[in-house]
Amino acid sequence: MAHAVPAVLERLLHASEPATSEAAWSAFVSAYSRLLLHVARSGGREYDAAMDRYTQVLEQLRQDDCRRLRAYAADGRSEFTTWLVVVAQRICLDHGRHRYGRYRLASDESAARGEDHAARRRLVDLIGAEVDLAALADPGRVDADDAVRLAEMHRSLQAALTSLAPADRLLIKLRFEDGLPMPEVAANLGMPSRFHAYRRLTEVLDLLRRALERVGVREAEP
Amino acid sequence: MTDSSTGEAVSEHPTSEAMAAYLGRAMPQAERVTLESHLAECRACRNEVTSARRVIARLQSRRRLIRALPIAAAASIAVLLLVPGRDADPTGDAMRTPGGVDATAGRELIRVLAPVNGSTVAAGRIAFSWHPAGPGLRYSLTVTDAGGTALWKVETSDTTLLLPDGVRLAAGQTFFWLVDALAPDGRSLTTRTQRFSTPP
Repeated sequence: MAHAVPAVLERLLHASEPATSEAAWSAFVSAYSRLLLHVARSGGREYDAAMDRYTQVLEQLRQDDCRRLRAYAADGRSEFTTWLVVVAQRICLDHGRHRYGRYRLASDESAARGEDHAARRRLVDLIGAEVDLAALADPGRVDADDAVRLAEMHRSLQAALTSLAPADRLLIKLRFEDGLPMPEVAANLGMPSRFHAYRRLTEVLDLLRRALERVGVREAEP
Repeated sequence: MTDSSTGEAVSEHPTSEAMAAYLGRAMPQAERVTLESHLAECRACRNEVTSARRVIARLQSRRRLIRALPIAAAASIAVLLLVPGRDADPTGDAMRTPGGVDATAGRELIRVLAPVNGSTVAAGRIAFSWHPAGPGLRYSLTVTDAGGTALWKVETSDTTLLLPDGVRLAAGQTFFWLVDALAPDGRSLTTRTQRFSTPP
């Protein structure tokens, strides 16, 4: 379903005279400044940096005769405000990368690479596969033979994960790699409540457990 | 193409339009499966979706709050008119559980310092003040007239704000104000709607 282009955007995109264009732009900024400031602040609360991002978003939106905004008008699949949040966020990301070489969204913090192993360990724990969890968390503790079997287990887990439907794989990643609370996992997957997400998670973990058992991962020691 | 946060190979990153359609649940099933498959492999895009959804949720909860203000104002007036002696508890403590949680809405209460609920204050540079509710919090203060029209809305990390010169409060009128905050851990805090009047 195509969403209607908001009137304030319609006026901006159709303003031909400089004076009307300027007035339309002011009206647009006034209508969406709260949303854009919200996005700018979501990348960090430090005032100057947030205002820098906000300014950058405004500049980018107006650039090339509002090229980005025209892309929404041509697509129109989502609500304008949803689209604007995504685009403003991407502009902030690009700005951060350009300026500092790297930029992280607030949600990246819990998803640092170093947490991967802990996440994998929690996952294995929940699957209930009878593997040496301490060894999974600390591969340095195992000898060469065990290391081979441990690597085999990781490969089996990876294969089992890959065999899942994309939505189930995403559920696992959101929960165990990104560490999101279940209400957020449910929202991300379009589930009506966290209870639906819990129920699906239980089913998916059961699927993984059975997939691992099929390839012989059931021993207490690697 | 690689995931910028993990360096692993992933499929093409979705366009802004596709991402927005996914967030708005306006995507055909087949396209959604493809995008979810990408999200499962690409942490950068997952983080983008999570972050955007958080921003949208906050904006929506703020919008609901602003929409609720006129209703809250009308309800407060009705209570004041219908229940004699309601002002006997100007701080609203009667609604508060011992733990400081607003029993009516399940939100933690921010304690008000001034203007005291139900008081009459001289129109002019009125100071709005409340107890700090935690470190690093951003508060949102909204002042409305009796009809629920917002006269002043501001976000701040301070706990005392002066009504700006540009905001004129008519004499002999009732006004409402409310501070709310969303803590980084997801807790929602509020002063609940407060009322004050200007002298005739």
